[in-house]
Amino acid sequence: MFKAASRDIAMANGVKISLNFRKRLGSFALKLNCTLEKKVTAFLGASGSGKSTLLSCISGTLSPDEGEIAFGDELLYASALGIDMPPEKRRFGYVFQEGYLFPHLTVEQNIRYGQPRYRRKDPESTARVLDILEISALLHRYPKQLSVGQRQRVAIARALAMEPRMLLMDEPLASLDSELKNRIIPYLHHVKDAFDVPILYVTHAISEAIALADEAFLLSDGEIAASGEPHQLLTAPSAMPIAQLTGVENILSLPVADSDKRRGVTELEIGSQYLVIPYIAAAIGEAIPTAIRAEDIIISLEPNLPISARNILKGKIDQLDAVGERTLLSILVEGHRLSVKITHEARGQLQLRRGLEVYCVIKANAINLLWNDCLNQDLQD
Amino acid sequence: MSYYLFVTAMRITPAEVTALTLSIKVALLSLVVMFPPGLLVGWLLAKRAFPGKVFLNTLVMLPLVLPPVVSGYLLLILLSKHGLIGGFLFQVLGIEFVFSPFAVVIAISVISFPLLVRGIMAGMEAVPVELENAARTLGASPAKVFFTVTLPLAYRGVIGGAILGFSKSLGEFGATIMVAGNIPGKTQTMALAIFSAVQLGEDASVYRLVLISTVVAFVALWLTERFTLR
Repeated sequence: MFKAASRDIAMANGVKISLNFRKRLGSFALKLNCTLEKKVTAFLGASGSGKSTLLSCISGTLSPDEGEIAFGDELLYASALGIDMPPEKRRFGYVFQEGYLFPHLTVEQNIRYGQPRYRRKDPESTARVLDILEISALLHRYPKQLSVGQRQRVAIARALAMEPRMLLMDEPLASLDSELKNRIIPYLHHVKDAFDVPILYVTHAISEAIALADEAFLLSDGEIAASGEPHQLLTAPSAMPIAQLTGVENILSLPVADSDKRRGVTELEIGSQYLVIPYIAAAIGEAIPTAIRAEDIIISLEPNLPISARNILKGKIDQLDAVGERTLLSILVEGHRLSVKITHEARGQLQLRRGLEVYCVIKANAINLLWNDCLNQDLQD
Repeated sequence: MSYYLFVTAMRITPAEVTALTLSIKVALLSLVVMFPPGLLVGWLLAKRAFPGKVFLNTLVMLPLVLPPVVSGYLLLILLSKHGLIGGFLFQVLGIEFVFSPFAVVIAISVISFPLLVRGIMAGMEAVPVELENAARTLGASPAKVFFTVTLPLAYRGVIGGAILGFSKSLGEFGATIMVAGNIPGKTQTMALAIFSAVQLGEDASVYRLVLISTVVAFVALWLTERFTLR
């Protein structure tokens, strides 16, 4: 359907990582038994599903209770043999959600902190990393002088400069808003293409998993609930319960109707209606996977509103469910199903009911593109 | 009257200078000797989990709540020629600690150690464990993490604890007089000199020493606040 799926991406230099361990923390237990074989593997789950525990165990900052963790033939942890390699020996680059740059060191010192000793005297050794993440101009700043997005790029650079055998990414985009996210994802794609290093990517956002991963695992209550090719796995109806926990995202694959570089817009077809997004270099008719968070859609009873948003889609309410503090609407837009999250109060005031015709208002930058090639294109422009 | 007081107050005598310099010398020596164990204990208590942690904490902090005279008396028992430690040292090395300047150092070290450790602990507790974990994943050994991440980021607390401990040492009275006595020129520190001057009714000397003590304490506390408050 789209290119990433059709390419068979084997794990960098064919290394397999096998995770087979248990870790109990209070009433929570993480139980894993899986092998990572692809270049980018995503673990998807809601908060509390065990994602951070998983990364801590793999990085060695937390010891499992029992089991085995192996990188290729090398055992990193084996309870039966009494092996528990300390984190500094594992050489896994860890990118934290909050970045965790060293506040007392400059960007350059941060990046050089984990560099192998024989590289330290060579100023060129980090050039590629700095280039790809575009941080050469920031080297002499301190972390507090950086924007959130820059900080996250430096954190990725720091993990890459240590020349890791594997990159562990713990929700690296979670602290960014969706516009910033769309700007960082291309950097992650470049990292994926430019470095021969497997990536384990932990997230609660379906769109990130689809945009980046070659294989995805769904984590639920500390166990793997499902696994497979990300797009198929995560858009399947069976993923809905997970999706509701992680924040519902609408994944739509829409064909390009028109693409106008001069106006800077691309129009996607959704039945007889159109979604307008910022320009991408795509051929007419090509299907573009997009993600729209259920919270980012506004419901209106009227089509002609004096507002700036250009995307107003007509649809019909098919279902209303109370999910905690919110009402989850399921709206049919010419055969495509859109999930929309609104407050109970709004539901009452607008007197929403099944079969009612409504208009979905979507801001252009709330539409996340999951199409790998166009993201790369963006970066080159 | 107040002018007369001021002039006398400034005419500091050689004996008073001796007491002042002894106070500063022993306090500095105590700080230098106790700083490394202070870092170790502060780090253990702030960052590590181990059996007996509560006991160690209690033991270190005990002099903070114990009357200094009691701490001093316990030290006297331990350090005297017939005591557990003092007896051993006397027999092996032929040294007697009690009533020597070294007894002053030991007394003020025990009393000021909790303040030093508390400052270091507070500084190190404020360093997020995630930053230390990040350093570990970047290939740093626990020792490298300590010197390149924990210590530099805890410096406010460390310096604050050092200054506070140093000031406490300067003014220590109860434990010192028990273990070291009050021998002018040998073990008589500022605090002990003030005590003697009051007993002998030497008001001018009292005023001078009190003024100096107050200024030193004020400056030390001010420095502490400067380093620990943002």
